[in-house]
Amino acid sequence: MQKIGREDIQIIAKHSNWSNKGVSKALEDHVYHKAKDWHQFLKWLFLGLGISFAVAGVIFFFAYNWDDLHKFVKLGIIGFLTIACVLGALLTETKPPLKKMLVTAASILVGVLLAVFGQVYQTGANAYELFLNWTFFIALWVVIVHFAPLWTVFVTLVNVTIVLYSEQVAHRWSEVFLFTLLFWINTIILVVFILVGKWRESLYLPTWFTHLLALAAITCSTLGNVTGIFDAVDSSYYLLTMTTLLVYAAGIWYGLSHKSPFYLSIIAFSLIVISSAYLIRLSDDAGMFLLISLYIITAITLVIWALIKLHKKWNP
Amino acid sequence: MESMKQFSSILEHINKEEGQTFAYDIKAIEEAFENKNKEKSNIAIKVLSVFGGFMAALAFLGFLFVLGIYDSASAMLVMGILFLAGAIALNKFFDRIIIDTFSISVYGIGLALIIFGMADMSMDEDVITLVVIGIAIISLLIAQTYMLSFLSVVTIAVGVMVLIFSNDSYNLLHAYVFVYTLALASCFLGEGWFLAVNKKLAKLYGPIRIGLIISLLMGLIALGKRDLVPEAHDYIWLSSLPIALCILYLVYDIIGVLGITQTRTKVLIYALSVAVLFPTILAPSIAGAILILLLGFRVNYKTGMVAGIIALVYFVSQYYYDLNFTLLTKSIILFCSGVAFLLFYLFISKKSNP
Repeated sequence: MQKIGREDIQIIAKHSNWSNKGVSKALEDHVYHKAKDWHQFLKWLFLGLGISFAVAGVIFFFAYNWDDLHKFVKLGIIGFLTIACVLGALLTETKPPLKKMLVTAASILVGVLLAVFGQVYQTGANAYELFLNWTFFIALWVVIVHFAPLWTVFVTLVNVTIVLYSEQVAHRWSEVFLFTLLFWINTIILVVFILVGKWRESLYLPTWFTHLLALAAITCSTLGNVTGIFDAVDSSYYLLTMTTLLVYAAGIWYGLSHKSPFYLSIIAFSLIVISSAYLIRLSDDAGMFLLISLYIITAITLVIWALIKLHKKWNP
Repeated sequence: MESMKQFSSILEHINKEEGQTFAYDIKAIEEAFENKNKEKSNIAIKVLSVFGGFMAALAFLGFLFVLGIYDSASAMLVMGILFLAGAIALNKFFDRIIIDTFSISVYGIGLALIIFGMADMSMDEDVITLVVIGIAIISLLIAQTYMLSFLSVVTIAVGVMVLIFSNDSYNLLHAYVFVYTLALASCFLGEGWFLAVNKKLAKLYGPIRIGLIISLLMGLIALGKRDLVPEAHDYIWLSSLPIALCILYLVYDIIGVLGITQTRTKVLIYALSVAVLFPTILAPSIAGAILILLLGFRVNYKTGMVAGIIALVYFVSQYYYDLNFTLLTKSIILFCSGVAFLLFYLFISKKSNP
């Protein structure tokens, strides 16, 4: 029998007297995972669980701050584990994904090392410095290994560093400015990854990673714009509005030219949220609420209609 | 599938396997196939309609409240009933993705108005909840469209939760988890039966499946966050038991898929599974997340797998955060489990590359 999908099986089952056994067999043969997929899945599941539990164990061990343990022993253990992970990745004959996971574990251990160092020597530094140093120290590994989960750790660290810096040092930064900065940085990282993936196919990272970046960027721009609409306006708000329009236009172009409904729908949703906030800012009487309600339904329905049309055009 | 031509060759093939009794409505199949290509929904569209529908419903309720509808309980009730009937009728007669946002918000507004109206008439909380559950069941039976059925399944679960909480019968949470675990496992593993046995059930299969995942997750969150319902923790193993049994059944099922026949390997796999499940006897939410993940992978259902992975990460972190051990003990437990998982990894790697 030819390859058929879940939806086709549903259609046939719905309009025939296909037996329970027959439908189940078709699902088993054409839709469900086979023995080979299970091997892969279980392998990665256990490897992922194993490494994350072991690293979490190490983190908890040092969070315990055992007084009887000499400071050199503490630093020595983490240092040893970090080196062991990196050497394991460099010298052993394992598969590349396993090596990349080992470097990811080592990158997290670097953060533990810095935290314990701060704890032992009471450096009294602002927490943002720890994250900044952590980001810097692993940057080279991140670039060389080029592994989506490790990049996720790195981008998270960059974002956390900026947020902590604004809380602990840059007290003059407005909320809108912080969101603007995060929006720019995440957008720039996203664009770089898209371009790099185009430049060399081997450097292409999985879509879940670029989508995650896009979601982070668009959340920052949406929150920033909505905050800016309700708060007293400062100059960064204008910058944010202009760049938002520019980036969204580029995003729509990218979504259309690369047949990606994901970018189109998140941008549309963000625009609808921002414009609704603007409408509430104009007036909050009954008529406006009715207008917003109708506006949201109409706008979302139009977006969905457009998405369906595009899908039809892209998959004739 | 590319074209109708392939469809007919598949139908011929089924005909051969099923024998003389196989009968099908070729016209309806052709039509459904055409429609499938005409209006293809995806997760982005579904999420957009749900969020948009809720936002529009909130704005519309804001409008009614600024107008002062809360002054009149009967006005709220009447409008609520009208909105609900409208939503159900709309779904009954136009099963189109394009009206999803509209019908979700009309349905939400209707439910909210009926709840406010009854509360305004100082009706008993349990009665209100039972009415809401009743409405959800009725719309599930009548409307038969994806979004409304999904919302109804989740509404029923929320209603049952409210009943448990408002009557302080926290131990019934275990019954909740028991029922939803069995329902979810049978829904996933009995897909063929669902599709073949009853046309109505077949149509509701997708929304029920995702609705059940969310319903079970709600119960698991209530148990997984320790200070949320401390009363339910005395008999917490009651919730772990059905989940563990379902996972073991799934392991038996997977052994079949993997084609393992050696008794020694089988015993080893069961022993390892029990070893993984044993520590979760006091943490049913972790076992529940594992069950959702495995079920999702078993039937190749991506949304279920993603839900399982996110739930697993959340419940494990929550468990260790709540645990009343010193950080040292926690660290030892975590590290040992990590090493155990890595041993499993080595075991499987060896088995798959002989």
